[in-house]
Order: sequence, then structure tokens, then C-alpha cells
Amino acid sequence: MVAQSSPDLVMPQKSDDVILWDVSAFSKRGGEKLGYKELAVFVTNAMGENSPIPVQGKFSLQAAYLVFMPYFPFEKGLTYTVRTKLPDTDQYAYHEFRLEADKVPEVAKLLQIYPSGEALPENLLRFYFYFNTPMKKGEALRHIHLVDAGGTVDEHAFMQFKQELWSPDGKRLTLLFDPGRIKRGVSTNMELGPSLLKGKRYQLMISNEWQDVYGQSLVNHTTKQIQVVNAYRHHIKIDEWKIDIPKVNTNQGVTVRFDRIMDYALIQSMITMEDINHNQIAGYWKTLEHEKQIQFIPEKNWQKGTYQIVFDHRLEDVAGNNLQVLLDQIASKEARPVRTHQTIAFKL
Amino acid sequence: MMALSLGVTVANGQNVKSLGTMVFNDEGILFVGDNISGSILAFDFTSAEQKRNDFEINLYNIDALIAAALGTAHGSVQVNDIAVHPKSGEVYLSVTRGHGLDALPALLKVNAENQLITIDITQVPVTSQLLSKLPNIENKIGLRGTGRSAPTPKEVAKSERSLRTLAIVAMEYHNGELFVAGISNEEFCSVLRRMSYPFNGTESISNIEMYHIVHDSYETRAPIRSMSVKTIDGKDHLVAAYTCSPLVLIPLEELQNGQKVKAKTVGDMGNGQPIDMVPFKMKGEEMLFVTNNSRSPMVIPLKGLNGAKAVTQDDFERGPKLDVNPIMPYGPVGKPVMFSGASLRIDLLNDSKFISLNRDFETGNLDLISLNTMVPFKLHNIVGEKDVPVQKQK
Repeated sequence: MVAQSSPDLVMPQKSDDVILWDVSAFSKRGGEKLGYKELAVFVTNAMGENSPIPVQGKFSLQAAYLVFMPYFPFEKGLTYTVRTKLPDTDQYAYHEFRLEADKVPEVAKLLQIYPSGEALPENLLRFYFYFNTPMKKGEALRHIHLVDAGGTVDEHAFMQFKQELWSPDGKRLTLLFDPGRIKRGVSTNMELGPSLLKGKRYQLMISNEWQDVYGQSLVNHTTKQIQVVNAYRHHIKIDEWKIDIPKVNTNQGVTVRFDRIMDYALIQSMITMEDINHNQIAGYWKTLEHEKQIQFIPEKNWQKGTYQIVFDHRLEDVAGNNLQVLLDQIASKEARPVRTHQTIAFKL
Repeated sequence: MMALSLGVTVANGQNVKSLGTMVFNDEGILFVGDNISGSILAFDFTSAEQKRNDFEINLYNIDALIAAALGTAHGSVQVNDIAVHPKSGEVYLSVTRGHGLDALPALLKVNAENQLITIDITQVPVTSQLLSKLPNIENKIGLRGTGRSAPTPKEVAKSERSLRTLAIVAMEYHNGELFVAGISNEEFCSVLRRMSYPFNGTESISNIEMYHIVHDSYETRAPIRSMSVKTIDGKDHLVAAYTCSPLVLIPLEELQNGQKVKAKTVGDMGNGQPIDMVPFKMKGEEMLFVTNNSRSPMVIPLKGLNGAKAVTQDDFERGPKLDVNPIMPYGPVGKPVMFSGASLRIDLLNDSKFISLNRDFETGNLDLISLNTMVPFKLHNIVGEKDVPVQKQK
């Protein structure tokens, strides 16, 4: 049998996708039901042999398409063969698809911790840990420790959640300091004091006993040095930020210099570059100076015109203060107008 | 391996994590144990047609067929139990699809036409009951004495299994009640749970102790492996088989909530682990067919259990006993019978046939085959006198 590609057949791209097949050429589709005789999916082994019976699931008609939804998701790493009947014949066409398996990396590594700098504010809210591989869940606090200069481990520094905060791919962990210890006047803050004290040094230690989902331990033990500086307790005012603008007809970066360290993960999703007509400019953002600066590199050279950098009001600094409010602001103290975004414009 | 999968949400909102031990009642309610979520599901298949006795089932390489139907690779399915529908005679199979974190429960059936059909369990009317005093999912079966040899990878894998996999080991339905054998989270953990159906959220839990002849000890932790409700000496009893392989009787009236019940040990089949206990009739006489993962099946005449002596340590010389001990097998435990290959799970298909999930002796394949209750054997693996035709010289 020869595998053919067919524009009439929409193959799965992900495990939980269905198969769609254009059956408008079939005369019986309205009356007699179409089913396994017309569309059958087989599991194909390494020898190229198809399974003895088709994969079972549900058929439905949606517009011109016969939809096949298997009872269980298609599996990554397996090859499937879809057999379709040619209208008004006893002949079949065969089409293969394969969902590529996740590649197991050779070693498990902690790639980066954000904020990446050493000098961090006393009211730091969170760390992000980026790994090259999905990690085992539910044991982060067994492997991450905050140790003061005297070698004492703070067992209560971080928020204990029933479920840890992992990205869907399992490669990024968000670890929050216990907000009760950051917010002034809250009971845990008064009993235990803040986790980080201004002027003190700490080490964040990540054990190499932590394993990825494939059972590989991290290749290194990691120690991040921390020097605690003043808390961020004042509003973010973007008009205090400075920008360096590029020259026309170049692809030089536009640099924004913040007055503080901004949240790495939110920088990636909360800042866009637009032209005067709100068309997004293609390009990418990179962080500099340990997230105190960002730079936008355009895909194409800059043209003459007016541009604006749009900051979503949910953008936060590393202490969890966003463009609207401070994390531990008392609600009634100061009312600021509610906005969805703020902009910095520049002209070339 | 204990799967902590995402599960499948069924019609009553219960998230099913696994499908294991099964039993039907006479109307066609299928009770299935979900060890991982610690609950029993009661799927309603009562609307099936009456056509038992009309067919037999022989499906070879059934695990390959199941894997295909579920869209996965041959090695990625495990059949946990089989049960025969009391009206349709169709054979239901509880299956685990995939391994570890990705494992999902599946239910399939084989119909009279020998077709394998996946059941969409999200569409079946269902009720469920959550069990209490469940063994902690984090606690594991221990690694124990392997003599002078280092533990093999399989022994280590066994020791890594969660105790929760023993929460629901065997089930029996009798007279509006479900009996569930397994272990609890207590020190004296071998328990029999008793609950009425339709479920009302309550259960009665009794702790079971029995004298084990082969081990010469009183045991309270090993779960009952298989059981059946029968009338013995005029009273309803659970006839139960344990690993290595005592046969005990427990009067149903003693199974009261919170009671510690001493089972009556009446016999011992010898070393090995019982799998299933299937009541059937042989020439009108009531029998129990007890399969075992290490011995030939035993056929036990039920009448032999009437008036059977309950034994204690005082009835024997002290010390453990092996199969070669002159007193073994002990008591009214019937006879071992010839059997084709090894039965992983067995049930009664109809009046004259068993249905067995069978490991074939020669190919090692997993087959679902019908076997005569009188002679539970297939001819395909033996060649004898009658297979060799008389060859006449010209």
C-alpha cells in the first residue's frame, strides 16, 4: 500500500485532535450512516503492519465532513494509518500520520532563575525556574531552600500550595514567597517577619536530587546569591522610564530602561510594539541588565513614522506591583483611574 | 504500577481513575472497583437482551485486539478482570490503557458475534460509592526476604506498588448487598466491606482473622483473594480463598460493622495465590472452580464444606508446611483438574462453559477462550493417540 496525502483529509496534529474527512462525494451520506467501512484508523507497527481491527470511537457529520473521534487520544510516538473508501468503488486509499514523541533530553538542567540578578528587593514576590525538561511535580519545596548568611534554612519562606504552579509543558515553575510575610501588618509578617531582610545576604539552593519526569536528576546543584535591597513600595510611573530610539532604515533595537526590575514572564506577554494605527510590529523582546531593561528588535528595518510601546496594566515589577496598584496598597487610600494599558510613543 | 491519571468522568460526575475487579448482579448491574479513587461504580447494563447459552467466544491474541481498539501499542494494555453479563452472556473486560501517569481506565465487551466493542463509559447510567478507611496511596508493599539472592527488578517493582491497589481485591453480590474484600488503613487491615445496593453512602466494615495452616500463623493483613456466597450447613456463608491458599468460611450474620471476625479455616489448597472462585454445576452437583496463579485449578464439591471441621494451630504439628508435607493439600478442597494453559481470569459463560482469559501454553499469547466445565481444556496443545490417524501400508 502506498501512503497518499489528500487535501480532503485533515489529520491530527495533537493527541486529542479528531480526523476530518470530506465526504461530499458520497451519495449515501444523508441516509445510510458512514462508519468504519468508509473511514478506519489502524495502529501501524514498526514492520508497517496495521492492527487487526480499527481504532474505535465516535462518528459524526459536520457540514461536508465525516468526523472520527477516537475514544482515547491518539498517542505520541505511534504511527497510524487512515483507510478511506473511494466513492462508488470497492477501493481504498491509505494515509499515514504520526504524532512525534517528546524527545528526552540527554541531561536535565535548570537553565535559568528569574529575577536573574543578585540585588533583589525586600518584597520580592516570586521566582521563576526554567528547566530544559518537564520536571517531577509535587516536590519542589523539598529541593528548593532559602538559606540565610548564617546557614539557617527558612522553612516557611515560600507559599505552600496543594498544586505547584507549573507551565503546561512542565518546564517552568513559579514559586511565590508567602505573601503573608511580604504584606505589612498581616499576621505571618508580624510573627515571622519578612522572608528577605534589607541589607542581608541569602542563598537560594536548588538540589540536584530533583528529577525530571523521565527520572533523570538535575546535572548540577545550583546556588543563587541574593543581596537584599530596598523594597519596591512606590507606584510604577512609566513616564519615568527612559527609551533609546533607533535610526531609520536600520533594525537597531528600541531599549526601555525601567526604574526597577520587572517580572520576566510578564514582560514576554504584556508589552507590544505598535505603529500609529495600532498595527503590531513584528519582532521580539529581550531582557537586559537583569530585567531592568528590555529591548525590542524588529524583524524589518524601521520606517519613518510614529510608534508606540503598549504596556498592559497587568505588567508587574518583581514585587507584584502592577501599573495600576501596589501589591500591599490599602484599597481606600488612593484611587487611581482604571486603565487597560499605558503607552510610550516615539517618532522616527 | 499505581496510576495517578487524569481519569474519565462518568455520568454521575465521578472521576474514574481505574477499573479493576468486577461482578454483575442478576439484573445486569456491573459493579467495578476503582482502587485509585477508592470507590465502587455500579454501571447499569440492565437493558440487555436475554441470549445467554446461545454462543461461545474464542478470541485469540485479545490484548492485541484491545490495544488496536483503544488506539495504542500492543504492550500498553492490561486486562484487570472479566465478567459475564447474566442476560446477554457478553463478556465485559476492565482494562488499563497506558502506563503510569498516562494510564486511563477502559471498559470493553465481546458480544455473541465475537466482536470486541469499546464501551463509552461516559454514556452509561451509573452510581458510585466512595469507600472509607482506605489504605494511604503513598504506602507501599514492602520488599521482603529473597533468601540469598538480590531482589530481582520484578520483586522491586512489586514492592513499589501502592497498598491502595489492595483496597478492592474481590467482590460478590448477594441478595441486594455487595461484599467487598480488601485491606483498610488499620493495623488489623484485612477487611470485608458490606454495603446495600442501591448505594446509600454507608458501609459496614469487619476485620477478618484466619488461621493459616501452611504458614502456621493467625493472619490479619492478607486480603481475601476470591470468594463466593453459598449456603453451608443451612446458613449463608462467604466461602473465601487466601494466598497460599487457605479456604475459610465466614457466616454472613457475623459480618457486623466494627466487628473482628474469626473466619473458620476448613482447608488449604497449598502454596500459590487464588485468582477466581466460580460456582458451577457438574451433573447437577454444586461445585466451586478455584483458579490459582501457581497451581492447577481446584474443583471443590460444595457439599464437602457442610459439617467441615474448623481447624486451629492445635490440630497440627507446629511449623510452616510446604506442598510436599503429607497433610497437604488439607481438608475438603476438592481435586486439581487438567487445564489448558494458565487462566488469568475466569467466569462462567453459560451452563456448560467457562470463559477464561488465558495465557496459551505454547505461544504465550493472551486469548479469551471458552472451555467446557466438565473438561476445561482445548485440544490444540496436545497430541495423543486419537490425533494420529491410522496409517495403512499399500
